[in-house]
Amino acid sequence: MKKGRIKVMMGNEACMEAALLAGCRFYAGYPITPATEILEVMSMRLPLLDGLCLQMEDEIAAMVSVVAASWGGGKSMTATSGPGFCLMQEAIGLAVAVEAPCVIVNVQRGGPASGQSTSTAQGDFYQARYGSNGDYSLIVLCPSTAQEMFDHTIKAFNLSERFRTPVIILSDEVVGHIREKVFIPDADQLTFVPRKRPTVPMEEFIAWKADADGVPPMPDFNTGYKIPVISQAKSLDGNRGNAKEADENIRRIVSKIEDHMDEFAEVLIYGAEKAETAFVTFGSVCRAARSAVDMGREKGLALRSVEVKTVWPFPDELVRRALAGAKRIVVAEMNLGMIKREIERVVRQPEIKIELFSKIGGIYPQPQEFLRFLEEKR
Amino acid sequence: MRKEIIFTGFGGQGIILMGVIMARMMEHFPDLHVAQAQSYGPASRGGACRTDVVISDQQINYPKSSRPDLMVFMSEEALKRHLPEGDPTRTLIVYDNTMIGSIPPPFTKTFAVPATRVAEEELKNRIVANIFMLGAVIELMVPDSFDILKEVVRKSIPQKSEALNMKALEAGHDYYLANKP
Repeated sequence: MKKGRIKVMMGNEACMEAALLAGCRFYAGYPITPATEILEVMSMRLPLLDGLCLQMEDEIAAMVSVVAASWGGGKSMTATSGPGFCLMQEAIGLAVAVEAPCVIVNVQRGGPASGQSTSTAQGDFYQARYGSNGDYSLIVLCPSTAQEMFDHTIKAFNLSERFRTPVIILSDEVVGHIREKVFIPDADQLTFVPRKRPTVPMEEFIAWKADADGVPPMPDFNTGYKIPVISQAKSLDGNRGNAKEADENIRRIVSKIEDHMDEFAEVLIYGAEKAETAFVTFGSVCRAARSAVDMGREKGLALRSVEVKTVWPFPDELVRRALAGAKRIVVAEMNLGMIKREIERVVRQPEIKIELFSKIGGIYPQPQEFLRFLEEKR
Repeated sequence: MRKEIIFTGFGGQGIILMGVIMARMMEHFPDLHVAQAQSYGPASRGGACRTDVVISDQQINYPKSSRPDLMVFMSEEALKRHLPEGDPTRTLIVYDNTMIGSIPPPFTKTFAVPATRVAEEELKNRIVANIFMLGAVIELMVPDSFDILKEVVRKSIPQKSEALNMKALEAGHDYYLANKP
């Protein structure tokens, strides 16, 4: 049993607690419902830790400064919701290109555009992966509880350092605003991944030359290393790359993550593992599906719920395994069928029915509705 | 054991704070889980407002109320909007009878609490109607936990209004003891 304390807190607060424990000392953001609490508590806590919390003029500036703070040597983060997440996309691409470890929290609300500020949604599923331009990869985690807001934030900072990449926590209004008991382990009970530092003599250091794992070591600015940081496709020494160098650069920043998914990909199964009927869920919907599985059991109905915790890169193999033997697959999500496309791509067995149980307009599904769906669509 | 409670009224009445206080109380019960969710409109003052509190001795999956055991209504509009979620055979309906005339049939399990009237006339500040209401319903939610409620309320409100809030809480509790449903 780990040592620590239990406190009732909001999902957004749990995220902030974890970020501070993980060593985040720079936060830049712009207030937006339903993510504002993260900025609020950061503005109270970071100054006491000699950190810096900035309310910027907009989310573009916020995300750019998060990238800069990361290069300045700190662990940095921001949090936002749909409209702000749109504005951040260019600089998220910048973080990918300059390989700046950082964490971005998107507490999803209804869209498109201003949409529904106080209501929950999961419509940013693809935006989290493909919102910026060009070929790239990054990691996206989906918490379902206040505890997971905490755990995933610790994990996000660690993965961002391990792979030198932005990591997105794709939460939603239900998870961000829920208050629950959260176990906060003492710092010495947790593992923190330190930034990978150069090991070669300073004059031999080549800024974008990766180790065998695809991740180049990262010195801080103003420490004597020559660090040309440009947003263009580059050669190893940081000049604008030719076609071959650009090709290698892009392939490396994708494969450094996608070749190592076994280190972090997570898919859970709740309920009867061999049940012929399976739900597929992510984020807050996992919880409603779990209750539906329990209610089904009481009625003698065997159900399983497959919960995709790391949604990007999409864990094809883990999802395929978790769905093995299922004859009927019901994808439940608060959008018009986004993760369903991935399930169709992964399952590819024409005899298996893949159905969509979709809720939009800010409505969080009730467990009874899952069972009614199974009944009515039979 | 799973107990579902809904507090609902309009923005500015301190509805969400009632749910937050209930949730915080659960820090004092190591064996119980709690989930408190809230829903409110884009403008917090005047708009409809609601919080769901679920208390259970098991891990809480579905974090909102789907079969409420107790519903606390603080406005007529909230009543119109949310009463259909109640189950006349089992849901206890608590209502502020300053704001709400009566509970329509078939609901018979009801408890009228004059929270806003007492807050305005006797405590001279309607802002503590929610705290009076909490005092009046605590035994229906978590029996014998009034002392813990007092401690949590004390930590959840501005210090300058502590005396007023404590008075409201005690008055609400006394009202329950004298009029329990």
